[in-house]
This record gives sequence, structure tokens and C-alpha cells, in this order.
Amino acid sequence: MSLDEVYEAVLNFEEDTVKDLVQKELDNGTDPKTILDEALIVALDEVGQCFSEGTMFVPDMLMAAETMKVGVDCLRPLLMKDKTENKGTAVIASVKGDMHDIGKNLVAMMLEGAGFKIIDLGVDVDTNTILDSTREHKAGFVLLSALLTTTMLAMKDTVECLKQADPQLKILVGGAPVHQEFADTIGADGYSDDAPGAVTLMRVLATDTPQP
Amino acid sequence: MTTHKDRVLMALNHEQPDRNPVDLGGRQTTLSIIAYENLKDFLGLSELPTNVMAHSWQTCYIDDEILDRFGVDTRHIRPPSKVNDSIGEHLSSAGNDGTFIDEWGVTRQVVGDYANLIDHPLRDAKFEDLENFPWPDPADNYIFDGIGESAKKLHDENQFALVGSLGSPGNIFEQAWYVRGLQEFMKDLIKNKDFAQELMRNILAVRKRNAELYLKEVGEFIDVVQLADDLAGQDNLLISPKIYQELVKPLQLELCEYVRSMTNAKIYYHSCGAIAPLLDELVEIGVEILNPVQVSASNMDTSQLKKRYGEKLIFWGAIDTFEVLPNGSIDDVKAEVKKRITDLGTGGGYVLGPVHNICADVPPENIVAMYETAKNI
Repeated sequence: MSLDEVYEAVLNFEEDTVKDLVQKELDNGTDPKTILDEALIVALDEVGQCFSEGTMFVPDMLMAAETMKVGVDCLRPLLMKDKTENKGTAVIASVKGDMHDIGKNLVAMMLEGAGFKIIDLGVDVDTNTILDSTREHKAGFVLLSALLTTTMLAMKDTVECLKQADPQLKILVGGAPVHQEFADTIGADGYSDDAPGAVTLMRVLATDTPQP
Repeated sequence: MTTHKDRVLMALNHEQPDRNPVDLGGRQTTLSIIAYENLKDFLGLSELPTNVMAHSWQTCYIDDEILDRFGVDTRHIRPPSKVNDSIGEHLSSAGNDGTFIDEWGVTRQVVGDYANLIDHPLRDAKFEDLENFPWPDPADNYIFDGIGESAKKLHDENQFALVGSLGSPGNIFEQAWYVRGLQEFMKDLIKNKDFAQELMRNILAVRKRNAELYLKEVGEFIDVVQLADDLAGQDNLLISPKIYQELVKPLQLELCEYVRSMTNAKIYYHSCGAIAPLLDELVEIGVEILNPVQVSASNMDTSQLKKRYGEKLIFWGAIDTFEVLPNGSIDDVKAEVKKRITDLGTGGGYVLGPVHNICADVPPENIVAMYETAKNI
């Protein structure tokens, strides 16, 4: 079964192999969406699970996400034809004053792998830039990251402004100092303490939210 | 009468001192510049000067007057940085946006009381580029002349326990990702191991030279020598124990052995985060003191740590800078100090201090409450 091989290649971080294996599978006539859902996403879920349980670490997550991205890139032209593939569009950023991006990058990579369209605005992003981007890309979700207790406070203002401008927007927050209680206080729609959790949360929110 | 030094040395020898010793004013146990200004104002000591310790961390030295008032039992021996003098130039040449380039070529930017890493000189480097990289010479960055004299003076006065900081933190793993970028270096550890190893070997050489320059001046006078290398995050290690054992531990062992060959001071090791899974490894490479005991991280319960490692390790730090000091009431601070002294200090083996540099979000009254409580238990 070469779907299993694709899955294994992601778990073993074999970037070169995964490309060939995905192509082989496509040549066999397998539906691109099947390859995505039943090999690539399952593999990254597995890695995410191990990360949450503490048996895999940041280097493993990054390598697996990167390997998966190679696979997804092979499928993307084919998947784009199928409009239903986009599970939702999300704008992601580290908030104003915060230059840290590894956690945010990981969330972005995993969500992209899971079928979301991601607009990554980078680090130190002000509220207006985020708002403009949600309008430009008709994004239904905003994900905000902060690593410092000091920059975390910028989340409050950002969430407030975004909600005022567009009450329909779903806003998720995360980062080391952030916790559920803080997320609730500032009116965010969701919080996760790690990247795999953010994917789970986005899947739930996307099911509940009609896409524009 | 017990001197400050006796008190610390008893704790380091796992004996119960008259009261738990306390630390302030060293690398990672000091105040940020803004926090220090606030504290000075609160104490009515605004006229005291503010001397920058590390521009990269926006930290400063604490005046002896404040250390005495708080009953601090340590004094820190640190080579002054040469770079601090030119901060003004760095800032103005960068158009005052707070950006500056450190001695490794890493671009940093000061935002609030913190300096972020903005760019990394080895971001796109290949193995062969490492040979030509301008590795810094610690002699260009720190002033080692004269520190032996001041250390000897303090040593001969016999009042305080002397804590040595090399100047640099002595970090290898962490410095590697500073120059490479965190994401790239994390991937190097899996798919580009030769590069990762060579990079860290070069950094080790810089650290050993730093240790040599420093310890030949002060090695015989200090009681504790500090090393630091963050290996953990909030919930877990940053890298697997396997990668640590294979790529990082041998280099740390070499550094510890080198330091040990030049001083009898106890080896203090700082790693933030949930470091518990690596404690046996750290004991193996010769670490004797664990700092900062980040109590807000996973599996860093102080009573459990004492139970498991109380005979092998001395704990240093442990007063929560994450929640209690910035957001707690004075009563919360008192309770925190009591808890940590009970958990970690019973039978000696604990030097109390903040988990990390105290930042601007900590009210000065909480800092005062922390040291007053420790003095009176």
C-alpha cells in the first residue's frame, strides 16, 4: 500500500521520498484528496499527537510539517480545482511588539496541511494590517500569537478592534503565556496550548462556521 | 555570627543555615532597567546610578545599598562588557529604532524591556561557510583585567559568597540557534547533523576561551561558577533526550570539565522551562546547582524535585516571576517565599531568588516583600 508509504515518509521526515511517493500514488489513479486526507494529514495528526503527549519535540514537528508540505505542494494544483477543498481562510500573525514566530509558523504549516488557506502576516503586526488582510482575503478566522507576558496584552486590543469591525470573525489566540482564562477574558473564540490543538479547534470552528 | 558567605556555603553543603540565603543582582537574577528605575523610586533611592549589565537583555547591576537592605548573601563577579559603551552609537546609527548587532553578528532590537532577535548571520550558511565565519573573541567583548583584584578583595573580606559569571552565559545550544535561527537550527539537528555539530563545536571553542580568560583571573576566589543553556520550553524539552545525548551533552561535558580544571567553585547551570527530564544527564556532566527552577513550567513541582534530586542538586531561584511576582498580592508573595523555602530549603540546598530577571511588570512592593519575608523566616 503506497498510501502507507506516504504516511511513513512523513513520519520519517523523508522529504525527497515523499514527493516521489505522492507522484507514484497519483499515477496509480488515487484521488488527490484521498492522498491528502488518508496519508499526509493522518501522519501529521500522529506527529501532533506525539508532540502533545511529550514524546516528540520541536525539531520533529518542524521536519514532519516540512515533509508534509512537500507532499501537499505536489497535490495543490490538483486540489485547487476542487473548490470544496478550502476548509476556510485564516489570517495568522504574531501581535504588535512580538518578534517570535516559531509557534506561529508551526500552527500555519499544520493548518495549511489540514486544508486551510493561510495568510501569514509575519511578526510584530498591528491591528489595522490584520483587519485589512481579513477583508482582502475574505478570511473567516484570525489566529494571534504572543510569546511574552508583555506583548500578550496587545492581544486584548487587537481582539477588541477586530470584533468591533467584524463580529463574525472567529479569533483564536495562543503562545506560551496565554491561557484559556485570558482568552475568555479578552473575548477570543478559542485558545490552544499547542499547534495540534489549534488544528483541532479550527476544524471544529470551520464546521460551525459557514464560509463566505 | 553567621556571615552571608557562611550561610550560602552551608546551603551549598546541604546543611541547614540560620536562615535561607538569598540572591539578587547576577546574570538572570537581576532586574531589568525599567524595573530597577521603578524600584529605586519606590525606595526613595532615585539618585543611585543605573549601570547596564547586558544590553541584549536590558538588565542592570544592583547597587550595594539595595543589596544590603535586602540582606542579599551573594556578590557577583562579572567581567564588564566593552560593548555597552558603544550602545549609544549602535542606537543612533540604526536610526533610533533600537536595533543593534551583537558580537556574533545577530541583529537584535530593543522593544520595551526586552531585546528581540531579528536576524541571524548564519541563516543561509552551508557547512563550508563555518570556517570563514568571524567567531568572536571574548577578549574583544569583555574586560578581564582587574576583575581578579576586585574578586580577591571581596574574597579576603570573607563576607559574601562570590558567584562568577564568565561574561557570556557559556551557552552552546542556544547560541547556535541565535546565529542560525531557531527554526533552521531545529531542523539541522535532524537533517543536517554535521553542520549542527560543527557549529556547536566552534561555539564551544569560544566558550572555553571565555572560561580560560575569566577563570585564570578569578577561579581561586569564587564559590559558584555560572553556566547557562536553555534546553526546555514551558511544557517539555525543546529537543529530545536522544538528540541532547548525541549532539549537545558531549560538548557541555567538555565545557564543564574544562571549567572544573580551573576552579573548585560549584558548577551552577541555568535552563529555563520544563527541564526535569534532563536532570540526571546534567548531574552526570558535573552540574551541582540547578537554576532557575521555573516553577510555572510542567513537572517542576518543588517538593517533588527536592524529594528526587535533593541529595544530588542544590536549587537556586524558584520564586515565580510568571504569575506571583507580577500579578500576586503581597500576601501571595509571602506565601510563595514560605512555600519554596519549606519545599527546597529544608536541610539546606537552596538559595532563594527570582526565577528570572525581574521585569517592569513586577511592582516594587512585591520585590521588597519577597526579600523581607525571606529575611524573617
